[in-house]
Amino acid sequence: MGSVRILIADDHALIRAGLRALLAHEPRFDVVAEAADGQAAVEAAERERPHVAILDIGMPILNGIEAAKRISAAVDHVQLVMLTVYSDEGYLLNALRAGARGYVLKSSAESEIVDAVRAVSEGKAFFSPKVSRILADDYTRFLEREHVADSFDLLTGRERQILQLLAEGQSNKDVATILNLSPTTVLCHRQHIFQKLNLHNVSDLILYAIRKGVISSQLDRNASGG
Amino acid sequence: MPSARVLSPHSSTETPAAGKPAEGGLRGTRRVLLVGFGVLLVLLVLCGLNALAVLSSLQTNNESILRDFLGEQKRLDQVRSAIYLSGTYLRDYLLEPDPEKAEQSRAALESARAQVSSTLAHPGLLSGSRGNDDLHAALEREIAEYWHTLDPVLSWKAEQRHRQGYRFLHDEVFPRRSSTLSIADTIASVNQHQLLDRDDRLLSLFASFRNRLMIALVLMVLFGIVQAAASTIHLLRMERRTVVHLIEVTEARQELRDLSTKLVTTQETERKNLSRELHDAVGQSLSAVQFELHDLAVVLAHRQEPLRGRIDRLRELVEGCLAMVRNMARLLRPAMLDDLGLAAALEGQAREISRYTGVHVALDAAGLSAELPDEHKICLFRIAQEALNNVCRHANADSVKITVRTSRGWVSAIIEDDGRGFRPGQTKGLGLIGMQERVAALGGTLEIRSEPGKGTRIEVRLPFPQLGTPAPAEHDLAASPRGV
Repeated sequence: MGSVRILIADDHALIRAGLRALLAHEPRFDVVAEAADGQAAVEAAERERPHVAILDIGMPILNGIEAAKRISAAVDHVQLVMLTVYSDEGYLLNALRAGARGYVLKSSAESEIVDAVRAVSEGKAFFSPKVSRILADDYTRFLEREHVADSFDLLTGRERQILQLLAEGQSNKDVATILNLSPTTVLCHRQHIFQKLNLHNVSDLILYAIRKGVISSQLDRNASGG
Repeated sequence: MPSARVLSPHSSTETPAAGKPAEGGLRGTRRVLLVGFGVLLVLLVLCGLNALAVLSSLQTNNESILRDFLGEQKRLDQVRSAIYLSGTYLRDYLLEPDPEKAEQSRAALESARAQVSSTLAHPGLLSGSRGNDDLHAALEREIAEYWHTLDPVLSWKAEQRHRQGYRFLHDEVFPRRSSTLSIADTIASVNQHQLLDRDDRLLSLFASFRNRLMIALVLMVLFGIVQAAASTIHLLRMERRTVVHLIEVTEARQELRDLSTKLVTTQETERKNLSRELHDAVGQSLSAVQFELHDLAVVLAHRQEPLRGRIDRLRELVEGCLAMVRNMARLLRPAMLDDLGLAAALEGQAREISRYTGVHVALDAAGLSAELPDEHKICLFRIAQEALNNVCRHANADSVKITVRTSRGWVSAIIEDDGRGFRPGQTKGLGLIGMQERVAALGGTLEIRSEPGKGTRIEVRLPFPQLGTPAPAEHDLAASPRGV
């Protein structure tokens, strides 16, 4: 495998330097560009065409979420990792909608950023376990208080497996290969999952998976493995 | 109104200073008004009384004159008819052959004479009328002579009467009677003249009275006009002064409102700057320290346990510190409001409240326009925040519902809870005042409806200038299935 080209966008030089130092421990990683604001990040991404872009959300001129939208539109196959201080669901959902598949809290960035970059560069998702925990807790409380039947119970074992793999960033084909199924069967299961959970797009599916905690085990494995 | 309340100390400091001279002037004005209207009233009463007195005296005068005239006329008629009859009786007496009948006539003659003398003896008779005293004296003299002429006849014998009676009548009595009667006629006509004369005098009296009344009226009218003009000028001056004062008060209120708006804006800007500073300078430095410590830990991975443990403790300390700083920054200024908009920020606030207090907060922001001005966003957010804080602190509620809507030129937010409520008139914490200040600064309205045991409903309405075409609703977040 070749090197992973990385763009770091954060308005604080100290953070950029820290990230650069952290990523330098991984020989395959190559930080090809740094940007101090959202606009500069978009321009650098168009110029350098990185594999992975690490974007701070709170940046001047253009915030990280807007920058993420533009970068994923402008650069093919780029993977986005949002680096932020906010653990709120609103930020996570917006980040997912903008195309980010990595979401790392700054408070735990030093121990998670390498894992996150590795995961997304392999086409997988990564979310700070703290965020996953908060979302999962909120969702559990919501279900308990509203006495709503947990739609997760509607899913079959096979569908739960597929939900987890999809949420982790695997393509239909990958899922078919991993589970030894035909791609058509996977597509069929996928449709059932979306219907049963009343979901409309992959962002919703990932958010749902995080809330249900179905990808946290994967994350834990990622974290411990890294 | 918040502005009125805030204004009261201002106006109370101003009143005593401006009040002292104004009070003196007021007392003077009152005295002038009292004296002016008093004089006018006294004049009116005096004039009326005078008119009444003059009218009643005129009336009695008129009546007495008429009565006198009529009485005299009547007595004169009596005298005239008695004298006339006396002639007839005398003729009967003189020419009557029957002595008995003659005696009767003589008696009638005597009674006529007595009547005349009694009428003449009446004190009122012919006395009040001056100017014709001569006439009256002449009449009395004539009557006395008349009677005197008759006197010898009465002692005549029957045949003497028969002999000389007719001649006596013709030569002595009738001419004398005619002259007497003519005097009485003259008196009657003089009386008539006098009556007319008095009538004229009454009329002239009346005319003079009318003139007096007219003069009094003209004086009163003039006085009244002066009084009215003075009052009007004074009133106009006071009105002008009041208008000036009103304008000043209005301006002061507007200034106060502007000041309050500026205060709110300044506060928000300061908070934003402080938040930014905390987040950027302090937060990021701490983050950098974290990275360094991590690096250090990696480098020292092969060293003994105590050193690594200390580094781990340091990292924990820094992480706690970082969390604290970020929490402070977030409390000062919700970054979500700037990054993701009002709906997301309210959503986040709702989630947080639910997470820490267990109160269920439902948000309906489906009708929220994305093009809300910044100050409107922060205003609505702060009010919702304050309301949610109040709910958590006092209301003991199970659930809160926040509804945000935009309609043509207006944005409204309703925050209602099912808590224990309060009496809006009695409780007025700083929080509610702060809400009102914020809303007033943007020219909006704040309505707080609450009753003990019936929850609380806060509705805020803000006007805002519409920017172009209505924007797509900012409800991406609200549309997604989410659990809070």
